[in-house]
Amino acid sequence: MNKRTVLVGSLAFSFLVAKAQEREKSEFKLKETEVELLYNHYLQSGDNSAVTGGEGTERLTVYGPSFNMNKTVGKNSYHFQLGADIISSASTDNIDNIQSSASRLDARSYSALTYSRYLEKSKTTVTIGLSGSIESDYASFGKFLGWSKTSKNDMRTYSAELQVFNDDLRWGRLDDGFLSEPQFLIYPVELRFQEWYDDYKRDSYNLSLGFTQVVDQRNTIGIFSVLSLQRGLLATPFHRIFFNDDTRGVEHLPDERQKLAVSLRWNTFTKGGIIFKNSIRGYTDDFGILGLTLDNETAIKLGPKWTILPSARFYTQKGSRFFAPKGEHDPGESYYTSDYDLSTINTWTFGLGWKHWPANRKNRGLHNFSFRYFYYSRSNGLRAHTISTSFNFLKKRRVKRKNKK
Amino acid sequence: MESCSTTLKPYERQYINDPEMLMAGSSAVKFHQYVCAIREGAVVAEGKKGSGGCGCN
Repeated sequence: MNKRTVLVGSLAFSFLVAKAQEREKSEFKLKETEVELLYNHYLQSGDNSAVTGGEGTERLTVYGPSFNMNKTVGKNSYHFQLGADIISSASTDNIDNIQSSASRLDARSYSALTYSRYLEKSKTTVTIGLSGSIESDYASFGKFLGWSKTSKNDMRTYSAELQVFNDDLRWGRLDDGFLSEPQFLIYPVELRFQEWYDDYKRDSYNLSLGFTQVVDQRNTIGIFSVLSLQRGLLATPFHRIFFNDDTRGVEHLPDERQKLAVSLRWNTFTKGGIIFKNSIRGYTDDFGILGLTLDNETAIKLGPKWTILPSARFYTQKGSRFFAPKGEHDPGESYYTSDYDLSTINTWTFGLGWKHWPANRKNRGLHNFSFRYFYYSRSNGLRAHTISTSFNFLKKRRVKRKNKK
Repeated sequence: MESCSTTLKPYERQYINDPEMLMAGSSAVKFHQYVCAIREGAVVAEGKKGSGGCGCN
């Protein structure tokens, strides 16, 4: 028996048992628990805050710890996420123009729970989930239902997911501790002489479709789309509008918005041990926004223990017809915003990071940890830095199936 | 590239099955996509929106 035969046979045997997502047909089933401790730190600066009508500081810091857990027992998988974004925002402090501190503090707590069941005969996975997030001026409750199917030869995957979010924009949930009764919509301090909106709810319905195809040993392609419908209060009630006649108002947008995004993706594992993940995305909505994204993430494997992760992204956007800078809206217009997120912009992102597997990828303990930095630059002067660190713990073993009586 | 109808044997999947080859991004990438979705008008086609949140600041 020559060396080549032994090597191929050994590889075949090892890949049969090593793949984490492999479905067990024997008397044993896979039990896997993965825990991720993640911390995101976000720093933002800019001078076009919508809170002050399109001019003003956008200085913002977010401290974002989160905990993710995935547990797989045979054909059942559970995912739990819990996190918090502690937000220090200079622009939020300008809602009432009272400098209460260096900048106002807010906190967004969020959680999600999903359950997936793998149906072996049809190679189908069904997923259901719930999510929720709460901050002082926003509460969101999400439900989702997902389906994915892999072809018999494991070369194609089809997926579909429906997400429904029911949001409430009233203020006051964190005023007297956690989960106080929400009070009212918050307007800029000088504009609280009337109720500008009757509605305080926002509902979002997202339908996501996906298709991936394994092309050959080193290439995978995918096509994804999202169709989104939003209804309700889509404006932000404490965003100011300065009209061209020196009067003021609050942001006013239509009560319905339809969005469509399509993405093409190509992942390739080159012979030099470098993985390129390339995507091109198009976006359009009935606010008049058109967007195009070119995105590359690269993984440079320096060996079994280290991977370097550079990335680059370019985005160009034609802005909404409802946008105009400070002082340029006419009070006779039906809809108006000075939020530069909806304006004509170009953005650049550059990222660099690394991932390390310290323990030869054993089935227990610290599996890997990673560090990533992103620099975000927007053409109107907004700049942002994101630092993300992640520690992944993995416990994987095979347990004997219980005999069915 | 070979024909799309070719089936790969398990031992031929070592590159396709690499965790870095997954279509879904890492948690760090998802957070950055979330930031981009707030600071731009577009939504991410293949990203999963894990929760709501104003992001308006």
